Amino acid sequence: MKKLLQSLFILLFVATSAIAQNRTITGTVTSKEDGLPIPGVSVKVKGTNIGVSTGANGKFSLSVPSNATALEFSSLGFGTQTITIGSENVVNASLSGNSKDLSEIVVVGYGVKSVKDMTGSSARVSGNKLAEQPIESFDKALSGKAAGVQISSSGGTLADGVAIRIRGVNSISTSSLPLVVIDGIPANTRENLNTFNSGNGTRFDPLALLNPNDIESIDVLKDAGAAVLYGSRAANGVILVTTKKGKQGTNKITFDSKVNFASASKVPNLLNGDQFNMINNEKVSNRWGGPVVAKDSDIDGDGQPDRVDWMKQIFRTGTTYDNTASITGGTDKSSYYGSARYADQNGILYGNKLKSGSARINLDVRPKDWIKGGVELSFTKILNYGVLTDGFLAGASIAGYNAAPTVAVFNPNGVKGYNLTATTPIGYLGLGNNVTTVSGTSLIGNRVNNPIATIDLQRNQNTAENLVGNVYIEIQPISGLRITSKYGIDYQKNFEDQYSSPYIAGLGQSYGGLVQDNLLDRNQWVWQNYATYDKTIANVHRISATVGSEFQRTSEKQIYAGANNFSDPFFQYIIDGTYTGSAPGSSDILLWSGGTLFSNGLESYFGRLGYSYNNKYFVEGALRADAFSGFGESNRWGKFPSVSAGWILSEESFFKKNKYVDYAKIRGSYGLVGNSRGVGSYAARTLYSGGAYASLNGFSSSQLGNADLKWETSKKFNIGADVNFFGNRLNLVTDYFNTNISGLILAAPVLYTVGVPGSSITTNIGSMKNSGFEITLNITNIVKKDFSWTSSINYTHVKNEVLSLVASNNNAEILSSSTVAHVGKPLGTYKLVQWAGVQQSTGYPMWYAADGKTLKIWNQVSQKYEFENGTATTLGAADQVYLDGKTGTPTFYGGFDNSFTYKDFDLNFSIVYQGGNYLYNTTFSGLLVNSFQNNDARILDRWTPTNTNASIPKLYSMDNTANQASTRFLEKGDFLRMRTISLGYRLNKRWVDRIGVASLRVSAQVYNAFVITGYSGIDPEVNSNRNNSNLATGFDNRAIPQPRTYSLGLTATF
Amino acid sequence: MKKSYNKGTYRAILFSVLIGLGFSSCKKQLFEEPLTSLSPTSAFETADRVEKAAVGMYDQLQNANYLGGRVLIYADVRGTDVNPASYFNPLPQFTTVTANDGLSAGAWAGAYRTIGEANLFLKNMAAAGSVVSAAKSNQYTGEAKFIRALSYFYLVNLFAQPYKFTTNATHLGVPLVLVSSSAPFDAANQVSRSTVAQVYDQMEADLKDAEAKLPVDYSDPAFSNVARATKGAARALLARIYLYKGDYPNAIIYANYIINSSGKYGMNANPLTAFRTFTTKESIFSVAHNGGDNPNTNNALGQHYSPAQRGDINVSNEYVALMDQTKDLRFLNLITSVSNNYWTLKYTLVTDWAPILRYPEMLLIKAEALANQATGTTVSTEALGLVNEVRLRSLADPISATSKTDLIDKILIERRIELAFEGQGSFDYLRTGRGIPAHGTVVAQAYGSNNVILPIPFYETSKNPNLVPNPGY
Repeated sequence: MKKLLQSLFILLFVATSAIAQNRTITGTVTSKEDGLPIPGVSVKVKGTNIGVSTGANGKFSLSVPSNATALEFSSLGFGTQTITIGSENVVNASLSGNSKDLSEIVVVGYGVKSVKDMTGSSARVSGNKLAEQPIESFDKALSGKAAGVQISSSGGTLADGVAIRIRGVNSISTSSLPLVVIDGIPANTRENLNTFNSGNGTRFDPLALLNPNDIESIDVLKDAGAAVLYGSRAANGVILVTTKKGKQGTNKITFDSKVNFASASKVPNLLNGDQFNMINNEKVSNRWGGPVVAKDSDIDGDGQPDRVDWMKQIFRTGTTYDNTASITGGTDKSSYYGSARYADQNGILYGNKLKSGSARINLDVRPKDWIKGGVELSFTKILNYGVLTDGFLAGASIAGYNAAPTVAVFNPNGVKGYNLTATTPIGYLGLGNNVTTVSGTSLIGNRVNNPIATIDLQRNQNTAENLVGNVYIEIQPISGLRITSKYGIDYQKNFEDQYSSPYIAGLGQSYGGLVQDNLLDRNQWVWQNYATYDKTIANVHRISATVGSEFQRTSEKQIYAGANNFSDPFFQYIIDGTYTGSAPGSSDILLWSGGTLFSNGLESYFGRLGYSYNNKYFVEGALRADAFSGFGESNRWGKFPSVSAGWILSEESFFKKNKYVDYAKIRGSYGLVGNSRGVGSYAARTLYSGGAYASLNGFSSSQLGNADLKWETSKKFNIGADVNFFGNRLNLVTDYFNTNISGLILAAPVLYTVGVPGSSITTNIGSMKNSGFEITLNITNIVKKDFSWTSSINYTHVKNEVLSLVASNNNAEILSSSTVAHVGKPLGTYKLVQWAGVQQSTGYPMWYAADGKTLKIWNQVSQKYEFENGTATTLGAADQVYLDGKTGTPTFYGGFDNSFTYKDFDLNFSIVYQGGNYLYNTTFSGLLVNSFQNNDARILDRWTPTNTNASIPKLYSMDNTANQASTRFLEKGDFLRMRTISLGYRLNKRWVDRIGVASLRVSAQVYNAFVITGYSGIDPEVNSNRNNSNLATGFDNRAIPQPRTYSLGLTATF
Repeated sequence: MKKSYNKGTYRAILFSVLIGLGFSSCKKQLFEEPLTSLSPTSAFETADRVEKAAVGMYDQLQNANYLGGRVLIYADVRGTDVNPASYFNPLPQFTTVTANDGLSAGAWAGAYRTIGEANLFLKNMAAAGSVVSAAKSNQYTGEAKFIRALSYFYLVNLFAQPYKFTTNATHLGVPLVLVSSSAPFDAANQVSRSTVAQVYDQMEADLKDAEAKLPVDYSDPAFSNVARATKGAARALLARIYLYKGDYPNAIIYANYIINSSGKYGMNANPLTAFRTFTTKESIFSVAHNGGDNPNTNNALGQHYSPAQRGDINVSNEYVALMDQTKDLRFLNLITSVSNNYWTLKYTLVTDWAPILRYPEMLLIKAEALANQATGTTVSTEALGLVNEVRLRSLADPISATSKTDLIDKILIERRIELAFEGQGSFDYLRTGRGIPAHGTVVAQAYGSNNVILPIPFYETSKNPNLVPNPGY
C-alpha cells in the first residue's frame, strides 16, 4: 500500500510538473451504489491532459490551471461524470456503475474492448440488475434487459429452463439457444440435466448452478462484428458472463440476505363443487338422459359434503431464504473475490423446493509487471425437490386441475390417511359416491391422481453439482503484445432419484414400489492460447491483432439403475436385499439398469486484425476455423470470416460545431457464423446399436448418417448507429439486422416408407431469414444533487421467413403441433381449422371449410360431420388453413426501466413487453373435456335450450370433438408485465459510521407485480415446449403460473 | 530498449514452450470413435455379428407403435369386443380421425421402419458375401421375408379396404418397399400405392420363400420356436392370408400343415396357459418381450389391458355376453370384473408376449374355409367339428348350425370369443363384407365407408405426390 501511494505521488508529480500550477483541488470519489471509495478513478481537467488517479482511499489531489471549468471523473466499469468547478477547493464525486459510457469496456471474444472501439452490435446487462431478482438462474432475469434478447418461460416450477432467443429463432431443428461463455470459457451446452421422462418430467436448468450474486456483468453479442472470434458458434448469438473480480484497494466483506414470499400470480378458474355436480350431470343427461352421476360424498368424515378448492391445495406461498457472504479486495500485485451462498427456496407449488449451496474464489496475481495469472474456481450443489407438472397424469397441473372438487384430499380410513382408491384400479383419487360408468361406458377420460398424496408419498429429486475451474497465465513480453493461455474445466454431475410408491397409481403401484436413479457425469475442458498485439503508430494509426487456438472436449456418461417390488413400503431406496426386481406375480426380472456415453471435440484456430485511424475510422477482419467431431470426416472444418467497420462522425471537423449531438458513430458488419449446437456427437455416421430381442442379443440400425454433414452457416449483416445527444444525456443505439441461414442443419424428415431410424436424417438442407431492427434509448432525465431519474427503453422487431426446405420432399412443410415450417411463411405459422362457433339451434360445434365460408357441423347424435343442409361430410387436413403471420414467436419485444434516486433512497421500475405472437391455449381446451372431471369455469356458458347464444357447445358426455385443435383456442399473446418494482434505502453515512460498517442497504421488491394482457390463460409469457420445438413456441399446456414474489433484502458491507 | 526486447523474446519463448508441451497430448484426445455403436461394415464383419444383426430385425419388430403390441390394439379398439377406449382417441371414434392423426401415422411409420430393417439386413448381408454360410443365409432370408410379410399384413388391412372390396382386389393398397434405399431423399423413394392384390401377392411370395428357407425348429426351442420365424409360422400366416383373400382351398392346405403337425402344434388344456407360458405348443408365433425390453414402457399390451397397470381398455358387455359365463373357461379364466367393468386376463404384465399366430386360429380358419366351400346351404360337419374342438377345450357347450350361413356366423362369433384382443377385431368384420356395428358411444360404420380404414398420413402425402390419400381424409 505504501508503495502504491509512493508511485501515485510520483505519477502526480510527473503529471503536474509540466504545467503551471494555480491551485490544488482535493476530494473523494465514491460509488453511488454502495457509497464506498473508488480507487484508480481518472480525474482530469476537462479539455486538457492534466489529470491524476484516485488513491486506495478514493482520494485525489490535483493542481488545476486557473482557467479550468470542470473536472471529469471516469473509471472502467463506472460512468463518467463531469463536475463544474467554482472557487471551492474540495470536489467530491459519486460514480455510478450502471451508466452508459463510451469508455466502458465490453467483453468480447478473447479480450475486452471499449464501447468506442466496437464495430459490432452488443448489449450489456450489469450483474446487480440480476442479483436483486428472485430468480434461480440468471437467464430468467435477462427478460427485457437487452434489445434483441427474448426470454420465454415455461412456468413457475423452480429451476425450470427458459428459451433464450437472440434476434429470433435461427434454426428449425437444431438448437436456437445462444452460446454461453462464462469467464471466457464456453459453458456446457446441456439444456436440462434431468433425463427421466425424456427430460420432460421435472426439469433442471444447469444455468441455475451459477450464483447470480457472483455475476459482474453479462454481455450479449448479437452480430458477426461483435461475436467475431466466436464465429463458429455464434449463429444464435453469444452470452458472455463475467464473474466478479477483486478491485484494487477496496477490501470489503459483504453480507447479502434476502427473504422472498412467492405465490402463484394467477391460477385457473375452475368449477366449484356445486357447479361441478351440475355440469357433470348435464354432460351425461344430454347424452343418455341420465342418470345422476356426480354426487356429494363425505370422504373426510366431517359430516359435511366434501368441498375442495384444489388450487389452494397445490399452490401455496413459498418462502425463500437466500444468504450470500462475499469478500473482495486487492493490491497492485493481487486481487481476490470470494463468496459463499446458501439458499433455501420454496416454490409456489406444493412440495417444490431447492436447497442450494455454492462457493467461489476468483484470484488474480501479478508477480512481475510482465506476467499475471489467476484462477476462477467455483463449486455449487443444488438439491431439487421436483414436482411433476404438465404432460403427466400424476403431474400437479393435470391431477390438480382435473380433480373433482367434491371429494376430499384426506380420508381418515384411507391408505396413509389419504383419499386413495384401495381396490383396482388402486392408487387414484377416490371418487366417493360418484358414478363413473353409464350403460357400460366409462365416463373416465383419464383417471385422476390425488396430487397431494402423489407429492407426499413419492420422490422426484435431483442433486446437481457443478465444479468450474479456470486458470490462466498472461505475459507481456514487449509493450503491446500479450500472450495468454487459459485452461478451464466445467464438470457437471446430476443424480436423479425417483421413487414411485405402491400406494399411488402408476409404475409404483404396478411394480410394488419402484426406485429409479440416474447418474449423469459430464466433463468439458477448454484450452485456449492466444496472443494479442496492440500498437499505436504516430499517434493516429492503431493496429490490433489477435491469433489463437482453442481446443475443447466434452464427454458425458450416464448410468441408470432401478429397483422394484420392495419387501415393505418402508424401503424407498436401492438397498441390497430389500427388493426382488420382478413384477409382482411374475418371476421375470425387470432390467432396471442401463447407460450411455459419448464424447466430442472441437479444434479451433482464429485470428483478428483491426485498424483504426485517429479514433475515427475503424475496420476489422476476423477468421475462425473450427473442426467439430460430430460432422462428416471430410466436412469437419468450417471457416467463418467476418468484416466490420465503424466511423465516429462526431470526431470529424465538420461535426464538431454541432450543439446537440455529442457523439455519433455508424458501424456495420457482415460475416459468416456457424451453428453446431444440438448436433449429436456422431450425427454424421451410420450406426448399428444395441438391439436385443427379449433374451437374445442383437443389434439393429439406430441412425442413418450423412457423411456430408457440415456446419450450419448464417450470413449475418448488421448496420447500426450509436448517438449521444444533449450532453450525453440521451444515448441512442439502433441496429438493423438481416440474417440469412443456409445449410440449415435439419433433422430432415424422410418418407416413412423409406424406413430409416427416426424417420429423419441430420442433413444440411433448407434456408431461412431473420431480419429486424432494435432501438435502445438510455436517458438521463434529471440529475440533481439529491435527485436523479434515468430511463432505459429498448424495442426489437423481428421478422422471419422460411426460404427453402427439403426439395426432394416436394418442399413439404414440417409440422409440429398445428404449426408448420412452410416455404415463404414465418417459421411456426399456425395451421388450423377455423372455428365457427356454436350452432344456435342445436348447440353443436361448427367449423369452416378451407374456403372460410362453408360450415361444417359436428352432429353429436349421429357422431358425424354435416353440412348445414344435413349431408354428411368430413373435417380434416384439407380444411386446415395457414394463419398467415400468426406464429408463437413474438415479432416485437423489449423492456422499459426507470430508476429514481432521492437522497439515500432509490426506486426502480422494470417493465417487459412483447407481442405480435399467438398462443395456443391447450390448458383451456383440456379443461373443457366432456369426460368426468373438473372444468374451466368458462364452461358455464355452454349451450342450453335457454342459452342458445353460447360460447361453449352443448355438453355431451365423452364427446370431445369440439375441443380438437382449431382457431377456437388461438389467442393473441401480447402483454406488458411490471417485472420488478424495487425500493432501496442506503443508510446515511453518518449512521453507517456510527455503527461501524462501510455501508448498509435495505431493499424491498415486488417481482411480477402485474401483467396487462388480453390473453385469457394464466400467463401469456409461456412456452410449454421449452427448447424442444422451434416451431410450436406458443403453446400453453398447463404451464405452472409464474410466481409473484415479494422480497426483502439487506446488504451490509464492512 | 534493445535489452528489454531480448528479455521479451526469452519470455515469449519460455511461455510458448510451456504451452507447446501440453499441445500435442491435448489434440489426440479430441476426436474419438464412438463406443456405443458399430458401423454397418463392422456389424456384418463376422458370422456371429450377422446373427446379431438378424436378431436386430426382431428388435425392430418389437416397434412400440406397431408389432410390439399396439397394432393389435388398433385393430381391436375399432372392433366391438372392447369399449371405446379414450386413451386411443380418435381411433375408436372413426369419424373424428384425420390425416394428421398421430397414432395411425405412428403405426404406418412403425410398419415401414420394421420393413426397412428387414430390407437393410438383406442388403447388408448380401454385401457381406461369404461371411455367412449358405444355410444361415437361407434362414436369415426367410426370417427377413416373414417379418416383412407380417408387417404388410397389418398395414394393408389397416390402411386399405379389405381384399374382397373389389373384384380381384384392384383397389389401392399400400406402397411396396422391398429394397433398402441408399439415397433416402432420392425421388425414386416416392413410391405409389400398389393394389391390394399386389400387396397380397408379395406377402404370398415372401412367405412361400420363407416357408422354403425357414427351419422347423431352432436350437433353443424354449424361446426361438415361437419368438423367431419358423416354417410353421410362415405356413400359419399363409393360411390366414388365404382366408382373408377368400382362397379357401389354399387356406385349408396351409391350416392343415399346422393341424397335422404330429403334435408339434396343438391346444393346451387351459386357454389361459398360452398367455402365461409363452412357448407352449399352442403358440405358433409371438413377438417376445422380457424384462429387458424397456419395462417402463407405455405401449405394452399388459399396460393397456390390465386394470392393475394403466388399464386403458376394458371389455364390452356385448363380448362377455357371447359366452356361457357358467362354463366357458374363456370367461372364467380369461375375464375378470373389476370396479363394474370387465377386463381381459390375456395380458397382465408389461413383459407379456404379443400373440400373433395361435393354434386355435388354424382350426377356425379351416372351419371357416370348409364352411364357405360347402355347396348350397349345406352345413359342413367337418367345420362344425373344428369349431367344437375349440369350444370343448374351454369346456363350452358344443354348437350346432341350421344352415351354411348360420355356421359361418357362428364361426365368426367363435373367432371373436377365442381370438379377442389379438388384433383381428375390426378386420374380421371388414374382410367378411360387414361394417362395424354400433357399440358403446360409437355409431355404426358402414362396410366400404371411408372411415373404416385409416388415413394415409399427411406427413407422407405431402412429401410424396405419387401417394394417393384415402378418400374422406
